[in-house]
Amino acid sequence: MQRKIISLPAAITCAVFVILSAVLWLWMQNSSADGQTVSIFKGGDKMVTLPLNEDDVYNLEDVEMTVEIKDGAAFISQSDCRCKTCIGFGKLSKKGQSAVCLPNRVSIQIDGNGEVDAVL
Amino acid sequence: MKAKRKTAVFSKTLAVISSFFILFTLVGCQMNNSRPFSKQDFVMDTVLTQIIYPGNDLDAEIAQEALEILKKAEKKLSAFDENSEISRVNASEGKSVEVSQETFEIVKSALEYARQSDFLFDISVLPVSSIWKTAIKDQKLPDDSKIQSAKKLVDGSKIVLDEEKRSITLEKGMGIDLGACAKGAALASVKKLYDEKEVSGAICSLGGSAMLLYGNKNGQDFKIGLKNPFDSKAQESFAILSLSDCVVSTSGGYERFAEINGEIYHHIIDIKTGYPAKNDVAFATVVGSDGVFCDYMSTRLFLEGFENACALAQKNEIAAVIVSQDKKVFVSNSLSHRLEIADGSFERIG
Repeated sequence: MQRKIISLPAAITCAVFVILSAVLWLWMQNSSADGQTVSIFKGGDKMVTLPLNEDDVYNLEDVEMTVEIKDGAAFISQSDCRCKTCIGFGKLSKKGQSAVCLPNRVSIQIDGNGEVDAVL
Repeated sequence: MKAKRKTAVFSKTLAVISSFFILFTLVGCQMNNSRPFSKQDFVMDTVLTQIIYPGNDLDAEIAQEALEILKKAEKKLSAFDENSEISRVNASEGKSVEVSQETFEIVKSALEYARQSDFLFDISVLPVSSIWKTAIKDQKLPDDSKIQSAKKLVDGSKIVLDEEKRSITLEKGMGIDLGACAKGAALASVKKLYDEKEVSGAICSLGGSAMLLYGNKNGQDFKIGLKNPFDSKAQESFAILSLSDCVVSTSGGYERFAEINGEIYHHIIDIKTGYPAKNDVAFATVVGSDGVFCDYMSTRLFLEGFENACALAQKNEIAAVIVSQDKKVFVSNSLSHRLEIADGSFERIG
């Protein structure tokens, strides 16, 4: 009679854990791939961090500024500053990209995973 | 019988332990890729971005201390803060003004670099740069007559430094603007702080024109995207530089500018004309260990024109990336293996 290396219940327990690990790992992989976020700062304080995969509109307090998230990209859509340079930064979707409004001391930055760590 | 049960218990335990091992290894690997600490602030008339690796509880305090250091540097070096040391020198109307050792050293090295460039890079540019600063802010072209008379007051060779008294003397009407090298200089103090706090890796960026790459990112080079100077709106990087432990300075006409009557006016002044520099260089980046040098050299390369800039970088073995208006990319030998061009419309020539 051949000797069993592992009993059936033990094999099932082992299989359950391996499957659970694989599912968890795949889930974490997926969530980090889609994990791009945009952080909105005012005067150096982080106001909010929003996911890029959900369309959203964020109005800043004290200043007339709006940050929109649409189709996986964030952008300053409206600002009461005179130069409007901040709107000119356009749509941001890659890690390290940022847009700044110096008069209103507002900046937005894309965080998450990506090819580059910072943009110069 | 007993032995059989023992074997079963043993194999069950082994199975559970190994399963947990797999689970924690996989999750642990993922946790290692956790996000670094990241913060943005406003200082030196620009946005400060700090990214600290691998990211832990103390990083917020370190980032705050770095911000305070940069605020102090601004208080000393800004020509646009009326209480700064440099503003006291600028308001002295011909009298000698004693300054701190730090400020003196920065002015001394910037002046030395200005001499090396035959004053193409000139820290006495304030009479003209202040006119353009207002023009860019108000989006209104200044009077040419105003520029021409301000230009006459720019002459770095007339700055007198007294090493013993640690004093600076300017002629009446002259003014120092360290805007082209103050950020690089200030990053040296941030580097000291990171040393003291035993930070393993960090990026400290001032407005995208001067960047300290401290240490490395978990044992690997930082990947720095170089912004496409022709398409700053889309924010696409035309190339990626892999670097660690250095300072990177960039000069480009797209960083701080205004569009007036359909034309772009940026902040880098060609003192020969009194107007923002207009030549065939679109972008110049310099990599090195000394922030003041990198700032000076990137400005100088931007002002030199493409051919001269490439020859200068080659002759002096300066680690530089220079992009011409027709998208030719010069890369110094020392950076050649570190640069990857991501946009096929750019042509590598060196």
